[in-house]
Amino acid sequence: MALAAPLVACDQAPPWHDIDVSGTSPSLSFTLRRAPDGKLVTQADMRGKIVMLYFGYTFCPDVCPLTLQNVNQALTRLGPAASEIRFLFVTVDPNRDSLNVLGQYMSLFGPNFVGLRGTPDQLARLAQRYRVAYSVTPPGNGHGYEVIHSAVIYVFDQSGAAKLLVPSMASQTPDIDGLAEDLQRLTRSHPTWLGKLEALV
Amino acid sequence: MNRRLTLLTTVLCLALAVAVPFNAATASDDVSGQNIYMHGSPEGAAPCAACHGLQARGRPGMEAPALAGRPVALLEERLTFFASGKGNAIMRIIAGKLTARERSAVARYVSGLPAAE
Ligand code: HEC
Repeated sequence: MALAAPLVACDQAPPWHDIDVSGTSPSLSFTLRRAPDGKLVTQADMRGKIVMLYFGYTFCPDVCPLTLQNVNQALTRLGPAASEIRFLFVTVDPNRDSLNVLGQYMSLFGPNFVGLRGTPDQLARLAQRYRVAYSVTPPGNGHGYEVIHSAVIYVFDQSGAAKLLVPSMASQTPDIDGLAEDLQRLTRSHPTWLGKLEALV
Repeated sequence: MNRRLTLLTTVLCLALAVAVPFNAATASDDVSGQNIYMHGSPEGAAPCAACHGLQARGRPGMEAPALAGRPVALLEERLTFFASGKGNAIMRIIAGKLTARERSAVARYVSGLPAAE
């Protein structure tokens, strides 16, 4: 029995703190404009980086700033390895989030945070790919702007294969240490052949 | 050659100008109200500017009120109130991550900003 336990442990990688979605979620694929300079960027520009993908908007009164700051906290814990991570903030509210507004907002959070903006069509396709729900209702009889968006973060490895789903970084008790550990582990591991194949799909 | 050198120093200075504010938030011992306002606190308080606006005049369509030019004592009192776990749910989380010194530094900073006409 005493012998069997380490053997089992060798066989199995320890569980992730966040939700493992390897092989079940689509790989990283997008074409959007970067804030504030408007440069067109795609997944190819992210090769070699661990990518976190999030849908939000800068007029978001609660979850977005809290999410970004908690992710920032996790990145701080990684030390220099944080430079291998890019947090992509895709605005679901391109009407109000001009490239300028978006760029200024992202600069509050630091150099790992990239603001991206697309046409309604590009945005809709991207959200559909990751099954992310969002809706924007312009102000009208009696209500202000209403924006609904899901708060999950997708994490992709260096080859663009989907690895993890971070449920919410804006809850009462976000698992910042857990996220930091997961990201650290990703920066140390390198994509397997299987992962690279998956990223092509 | 000379022009190249000037260009290089300019680029270096720009890089420093961008890098310094971020380092200051974690490395420096004295608390900068402006840094907290723009980039949050080392303990993880979200940047105030995200909701209250870059110039602390509020942002259209958001509930976060203007803070610029309001009395320090009032702002500090509000922050202490939130930090004690009372009032607005979001501000409770944010103020709860600031120390008393950080609360008063950030209150002084926004109070010193010009209010909107
Ligand atoms: C996620 C958005 C958000 C962030 C970030 C934020 N606030 Fe607030 N703040 C609010 C909202 C919303 C209110 C209004 C609360 C209420 O109605 O009681 C508020 C209220 C306040 C008030 C009370 C103003 C009054 O008139 O009573 C102060 C002071 C304040 N915030 C300071 C700060 C400081 C300082 C920071 C940064 C450390 C900060 N806030 C970050 C959303 C935010």
